[in-house]
Amino acid sequence: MNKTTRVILAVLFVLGIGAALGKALLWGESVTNYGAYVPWGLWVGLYVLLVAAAAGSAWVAVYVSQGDEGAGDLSRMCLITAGASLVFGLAFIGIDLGKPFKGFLIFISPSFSSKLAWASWLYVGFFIAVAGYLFSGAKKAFLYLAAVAAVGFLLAESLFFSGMVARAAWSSFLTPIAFFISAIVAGTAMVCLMAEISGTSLGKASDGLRKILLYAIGADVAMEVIHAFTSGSYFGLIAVAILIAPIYLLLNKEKPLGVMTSGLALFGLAVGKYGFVRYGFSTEAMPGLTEAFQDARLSLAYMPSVVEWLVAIGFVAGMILVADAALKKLMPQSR
Amino acid sequence: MAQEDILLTMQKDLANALKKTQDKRRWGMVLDTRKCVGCFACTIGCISEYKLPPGVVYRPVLEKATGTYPEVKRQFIPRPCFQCENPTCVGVCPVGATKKEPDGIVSIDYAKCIGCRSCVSNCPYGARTFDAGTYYTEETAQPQEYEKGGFYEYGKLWRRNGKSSDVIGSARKCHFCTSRISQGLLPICVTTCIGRATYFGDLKDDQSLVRKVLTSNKVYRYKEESGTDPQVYYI
Repeated sequence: MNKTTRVILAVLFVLGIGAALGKALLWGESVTNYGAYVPWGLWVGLYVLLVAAAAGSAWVAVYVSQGDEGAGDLSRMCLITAGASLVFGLAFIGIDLGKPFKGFLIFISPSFSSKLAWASWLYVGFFIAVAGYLFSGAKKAFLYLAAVAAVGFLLAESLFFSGMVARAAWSSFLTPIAFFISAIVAGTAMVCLMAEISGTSLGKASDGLRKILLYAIGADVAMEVIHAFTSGSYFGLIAVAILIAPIYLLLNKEKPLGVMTSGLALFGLAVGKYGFVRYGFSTEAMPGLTEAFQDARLSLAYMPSVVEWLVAIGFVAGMILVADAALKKLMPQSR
Repeated sequence: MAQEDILLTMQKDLANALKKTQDKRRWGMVLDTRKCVGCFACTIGCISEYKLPPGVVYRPVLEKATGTYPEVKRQFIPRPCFQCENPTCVGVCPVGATKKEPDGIVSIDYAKCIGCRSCVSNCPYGARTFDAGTYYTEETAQPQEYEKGGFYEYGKLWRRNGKSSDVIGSARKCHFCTSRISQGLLPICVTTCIGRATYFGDLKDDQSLVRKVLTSNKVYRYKEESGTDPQVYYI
């Protein structure tokens, strides 16, 4: 990453942190645009994306560990990327809480009937496994533990959404399948992106990752199309249109697995995840509800506020910066 | 002899129900849409009682128009929380801040709620709203202090008077006026109803007015197919 890019990302990150702190400490929910009938929006969409990227990166770590020389370094890079993704994914959900400083209650007094509580415990397990991999000798055991924890939290999260009986667009057996497919796309693309940014060579794993990304994007596109026509929410088709570009780039083997390909794949997924979350709230719970009592937060209309955008862009920039810094610190041999 | 006002009848039923232990009674409502005139007194009474902020409403009244001209019908449908027997909002709460009480009320512990809005997302009736910490008069020339005054919910005094308030950032919903009924007072939506369209009481008491109205009329409930078993019935 060149200096100019790093400075731009740092400025965006600082702005994002400033907006997040402003929301958490000063302005509260008054600077957000979600409400009662669209209770989740941009931040939850990005949380879903980064959690998927974390899970997928952990699985890619297992995949590349099967290779020959340098496999250990690549696995290490994947797990660092996964850890950074999850940190920022959780930062999104943390700032999204109505009471961000009470989020710790999920560990102190969890409700075991909630899949979100299970996911939270599995996030902790995942961080422990990543730390174990990075700082202990039992590499293989912790690598597999991280991959299993990733399956666990993604399963919990996808079942949380698919179990929402009030949301017809989510309440389907297809939701967990779609979550796992998009996790493969997100994880593979995130690993390729961070490899390019940090200057880590993917080596012989490159061809395999190209195929995985191509097939996974194809499957993801299919799931988006199915979701669009079964749920009646066609926003996901915008994601499909965006994902055609990385498919084209991946089909051309001469093109490197660079920032453009992986970045477009991640952008397409981000649009898809935002659409999935936001348009899960596209119909009234009861006909006439939005007209019964009028208020901006009692409406089906939702556009992210300036603060929501600032935090979103800032945290994504921060994730790239932190992952790059961690890779520099923890992978000196690759520089 | 003049017929007793149903409010007095329900008041007596309430007193009888309160003599029983919590698990022996089951609060429920019957809403007679034939008697509802769409005056919104229940909505406003509720907002006033609980000093509800912008974006929070416990009992909106929906309007439903059916038929084609000239055979048209307009109906008003008050929508409290349905206090479901199988509430979908309870299981998704990651911190156990919302629960089903022994008397059937689905409660929220504001001190515990982290504001994740999972319950808001999973209510099939849109009965949960989110307290974003705003006030109706905050950007006017004269913000009104009453908006920050105390109110009683779930047997406790709460205030929305700053960032440290447990209520702000929480999910909020109708609770059949738990604090009022514990004191022998009918829910505010019942007492403010000028058409006497809202019947409230102990559904386990065969002698209660609400039970009699329930059994002697053809009633229906919303989204029964979702398996929530709501405790609010409509005529």
